[in-house]
Amino acid sequence: MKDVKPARDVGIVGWGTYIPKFRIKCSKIGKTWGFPPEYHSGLIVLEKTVANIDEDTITMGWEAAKNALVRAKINPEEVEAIYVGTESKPYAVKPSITVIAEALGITPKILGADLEFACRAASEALEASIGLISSGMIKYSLVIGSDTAQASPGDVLEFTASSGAAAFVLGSRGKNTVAYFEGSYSYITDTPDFWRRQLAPYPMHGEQFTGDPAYFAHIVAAAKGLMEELGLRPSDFDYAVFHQPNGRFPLKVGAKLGFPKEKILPGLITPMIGNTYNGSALIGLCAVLETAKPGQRILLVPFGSGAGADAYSIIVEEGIEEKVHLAPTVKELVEDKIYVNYTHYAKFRGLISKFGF
Amino acid sequence: MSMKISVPRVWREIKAHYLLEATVCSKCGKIHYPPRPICDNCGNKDLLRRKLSGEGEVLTYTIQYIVLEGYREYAPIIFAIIKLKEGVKVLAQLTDVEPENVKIGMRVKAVLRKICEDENIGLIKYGIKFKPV
Amino acid sequence: MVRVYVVGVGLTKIGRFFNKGLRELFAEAALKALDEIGNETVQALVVGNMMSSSLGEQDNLGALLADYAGLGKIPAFKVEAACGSGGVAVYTGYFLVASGMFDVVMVGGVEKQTEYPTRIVSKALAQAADAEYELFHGISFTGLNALVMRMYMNEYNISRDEMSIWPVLMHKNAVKNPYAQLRFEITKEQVAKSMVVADPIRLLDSSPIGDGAAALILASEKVAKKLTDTPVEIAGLGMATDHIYVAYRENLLSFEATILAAKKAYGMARVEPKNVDVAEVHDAFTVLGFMNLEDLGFSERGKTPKLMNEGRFWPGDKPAINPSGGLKARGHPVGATGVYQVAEVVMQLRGDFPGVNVGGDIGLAQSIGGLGTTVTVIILKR
Repeated sequence: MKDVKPARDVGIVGWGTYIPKFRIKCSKIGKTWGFPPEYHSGLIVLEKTVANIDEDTITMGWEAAKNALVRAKINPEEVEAIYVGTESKPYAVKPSITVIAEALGITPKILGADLEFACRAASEALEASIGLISSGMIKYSLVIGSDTAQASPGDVLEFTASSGAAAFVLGSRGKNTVAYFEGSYSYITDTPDFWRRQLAPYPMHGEQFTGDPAYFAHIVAAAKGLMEELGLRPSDFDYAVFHQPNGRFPLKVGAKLGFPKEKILPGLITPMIGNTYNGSALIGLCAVLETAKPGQRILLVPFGSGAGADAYSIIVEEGIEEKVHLAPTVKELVEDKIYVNYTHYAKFRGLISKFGF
Repeated sequence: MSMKISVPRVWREIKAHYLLEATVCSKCGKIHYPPRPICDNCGNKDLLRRKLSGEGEVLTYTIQYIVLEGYREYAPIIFAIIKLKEGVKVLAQLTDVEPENVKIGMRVKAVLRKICEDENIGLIKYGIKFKPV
Repeated sequence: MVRVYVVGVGLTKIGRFFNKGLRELFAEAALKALDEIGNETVQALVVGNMMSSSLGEQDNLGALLADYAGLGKIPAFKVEAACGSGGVAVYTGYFLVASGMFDVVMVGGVEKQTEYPTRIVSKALAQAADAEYELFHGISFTGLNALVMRMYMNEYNISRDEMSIWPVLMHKNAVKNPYAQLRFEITKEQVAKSMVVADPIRLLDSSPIGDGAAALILASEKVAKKLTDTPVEIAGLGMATDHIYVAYRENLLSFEATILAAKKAYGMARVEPKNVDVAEVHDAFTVLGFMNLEDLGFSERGKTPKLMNEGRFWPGDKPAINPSGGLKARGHPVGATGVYQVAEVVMQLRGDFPGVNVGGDIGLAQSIGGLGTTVTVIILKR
């Protein structure tokens, strides 16, 4: 069993979010495919984001990273590692980090890669970065979670699969960090709840199987494991941010662990933007960082199908409030929206074949 | 399998297209975008490189409905000449804005977006577009 | 330098000729021109063309066309300056004769634009712009011109209705021109309601896509009078280029290349704008027509639409503008257009133009490549 704490504390220097402007209401999706009316209310999701026709994992990741660097207030060239966690790579083979790194002006003396582990790939990158930084190998790491999530038209996943990105600049805990990782704990098993084969355009999932054996089992195990190692209880935390595939699961898993919904709601963004996959828990974390006060403790538990969860205890530090408005906040991005109908959504998401064009 | 987007052409222009990198004359200070080998103002060949701010306002624009091959799904495309903070003018697409809301004088900022793709097997061409501030 | 005369012309009708390729069209025009000079031997050939390579898979065009027109194994080459290739071909041919090296030179222009659907031809045409920094973004040539049209209308407070007079006049002039592509009148309402191509440019603001070929025979003073009774002198010419990246220029409402080329041409011909009787100017789009008249010194900045609405520049005025119907209605077979223009002015000065015949002593032809990137101005005298 690994140590939950690194040799030296690592913290968040800057955070950033990118949420596409276009939205489609779940009711429009339901109507198109003949779902029972208000089927989606059970999911507690109202509408989801739709990436514009010229957006993808790379462009969204870039913009979230730009926002994170602005809040970090460091010279971008000091970033020595860059990771993108995604399950919607524009290329199956050709990294996204290279385009983003060039567009941020931070090449060539960097390390990094695109990571895949369904929705927790970016979280794995957080873990790797904590290791790299605390060992002294690098000064700053840029971790991006970005997805233009795919769902088969007419499948229940279509209500929630959306697009968005979050990014974090991590560095040694010090004067310029606004929060630090008190500890982290990972829990991974081979649990095939949700997957997408190589050339398949859309994923498949085990429906009910994605719940208890996957989402709930791993999040509960990771969270309990972390709290046990750190000697903490739910009452020691001010916020609990869970992976949020819909609006219902985080409240349910929170209840299982003993967290009241008041601690979960500030970081629950999916009802307004859908499930941004690698952005899911991390955008929730960004939202919490934008309201949290120094000294408060945040539980962050991303989850990825396949399956695995990571639990982090994050302590907020002095200086965070000054950084909140240096870049667009989650609230501002959520509220900046234009609605589209199903036909435009289908066109933007490539559901209508453009063969020959 | 035909290849419509040239690999070296996209690669060697990365800094000009992703970062709006310009050349600046070390003698007379003229900023050249696109970058060039020799200052057209004073003939000096000793040029520095500078990334432009990406912030500016729309000088003129058009809404192009009839688009070129490879751009069908992007129609209509809004093109604009934007005057950046530095006084330099650039040509680029506007994005995330409805055609009827575009105005001369509108303030915009640069973002990285897909320009076009070489079908589903060739390269994806990325570049800078501008969106309303 | 030797004085140079146009002693023969040959034009094809402009249209969509799926049954004729580059060589057939060119031969048609060349043989007509040769006919006018009693089939005298041509010593060199200059051809203006833009897209034989991108749309026709054909390079080495000079040699091909010299062969097919039966000109023999003479020096022959293509010159290219996008849509201004024709003007540049005349400019080049002039110096072949003026240098004293050749007495009889054929200047031709030919273009095939109908080999592919519009979306592919548009891309080939857009290569007139900056490939790395304008075409890179996916802008069409129409889009580039639309940026200027909006700026022009905004700067000088000109309405859609006022702008529409240009295509109306062009079509009216073309009705009588047997070589013209579009020989029907249109109204301002039709212009304003026509399909938007790149706002604010509408379909009826844009020159049509078509095929065509034109040829001129240039001769030295020594030989000219032997070949024709009505030689027309190329009395002055000028050419200039500008930054291809349009946003790099200071002023987007005027083409400095036109002003520089015109200055050279007027100076050499010893004439002023007010002396010009007839002019064929490069109106690829409505806004360019107005801007050209201003850059050539025929009217004041921003005032041209109003003047044309009041009757200036119509046949009978001095200068009469585009009695052929211009690029808008006579047509714009891109690389050939500049040669058509000179041929038409020559016929006006000879008194035998088969369309609207305005006559005169001094004529001007202006050809533009790209968005004011390469401009030639040619002045002819009877």
